[in-house]
Amino acid sequence: MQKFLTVTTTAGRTEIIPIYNLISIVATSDTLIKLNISPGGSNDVIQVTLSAADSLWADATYIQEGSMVDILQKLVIEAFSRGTWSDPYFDITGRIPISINSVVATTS
Amino acid sequence: MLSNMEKFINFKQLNVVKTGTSTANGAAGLTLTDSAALFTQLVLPHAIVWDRVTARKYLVTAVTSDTVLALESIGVDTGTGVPNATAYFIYMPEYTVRQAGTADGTGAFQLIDSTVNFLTAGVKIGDYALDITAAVTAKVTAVTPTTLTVDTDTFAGGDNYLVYASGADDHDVIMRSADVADVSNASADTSIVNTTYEPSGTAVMKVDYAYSSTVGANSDMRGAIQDAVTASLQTAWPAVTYDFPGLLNPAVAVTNATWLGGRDYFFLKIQKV
Repeated sequence: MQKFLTVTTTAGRTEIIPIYNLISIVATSDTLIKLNISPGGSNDVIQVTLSAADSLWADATYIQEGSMVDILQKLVIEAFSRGTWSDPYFDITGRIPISINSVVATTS
Repeated sequence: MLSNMEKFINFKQLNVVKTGTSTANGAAGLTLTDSAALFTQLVLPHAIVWDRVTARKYLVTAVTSDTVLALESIGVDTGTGVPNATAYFIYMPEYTVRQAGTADGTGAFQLIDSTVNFLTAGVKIGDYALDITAAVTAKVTAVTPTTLTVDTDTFAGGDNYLVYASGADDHDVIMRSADVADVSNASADTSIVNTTYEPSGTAVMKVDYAYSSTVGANSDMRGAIQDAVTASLQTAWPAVTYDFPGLLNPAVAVTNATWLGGRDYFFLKIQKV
């Protein structure tokens, strides 16, 4: 089932974040989160840039309880379980403690 | 139309409570030394130390001082202690630290620290308050922002303390269970299981875990993850996640039996590689 998170960025743009075929969510810095999509080829990583540093991000694990990665994981699960086939979008703008600057697709 | 059912296994991964680099050679002595650490206010016995260079894992048997931990080897690849200049992570599989500091007041059956907020730190009745200075543990019976009432009269101004709760310091990590092509033991490490996905097979999720025993087989965890993949796909909609049910080490002659029966496993790091 095709599902997307939607978010209004700090610039006022509405961005979609595809979450179908999601494998995992990690952070590679305290302001950068990556959603890895199967199969892992070109443009199969969705890169989310935060507007401020996530103080709970830990270089050791890329994820800690209460961090933005932890919160996004829970929102993804909620989106899959609550959305309907005719409504593939799940807005997270008011559900995240740190706003998002940009959403782009990358290769890694 | 190609349409997949989205399913995930939910693992309880331990939080990293301390990272650092060792500053003395603990190899052969079964110790970890870090002159920059303050272990007494972060770590309790039965914490797990992961030597990030040799990948050996240890159980903390005693918090010897602010800068030294006494260790016992766990995992099939046994170690002899953390060598000098080695990066390490520490996890807390039995307890969760709520607050640490130095008491700045004295009251009967009270722990007073005007510089913290015990309520927002999550301290609850029934949690434990360790008086590090006096080496006495009390139980919390009442909580206000700056004062804990405890069942043992031990705290005085100037005492270092650590307040903690029972239960692992962990969080949820999801791993995709749909489109799994293969679950395999890592060839070079006895505590890593890799999960590969269709269609291209390029995406791999790596599960790093720790044994409580020094005896076991990586294939046991591989089998448990395979079973969890199957079970998660069998769960009815709209249950998107399936909680990994855990695994008891089936080896006959487990060691470290005084710690959780020597049969437990702990997830340290789950990530796409």
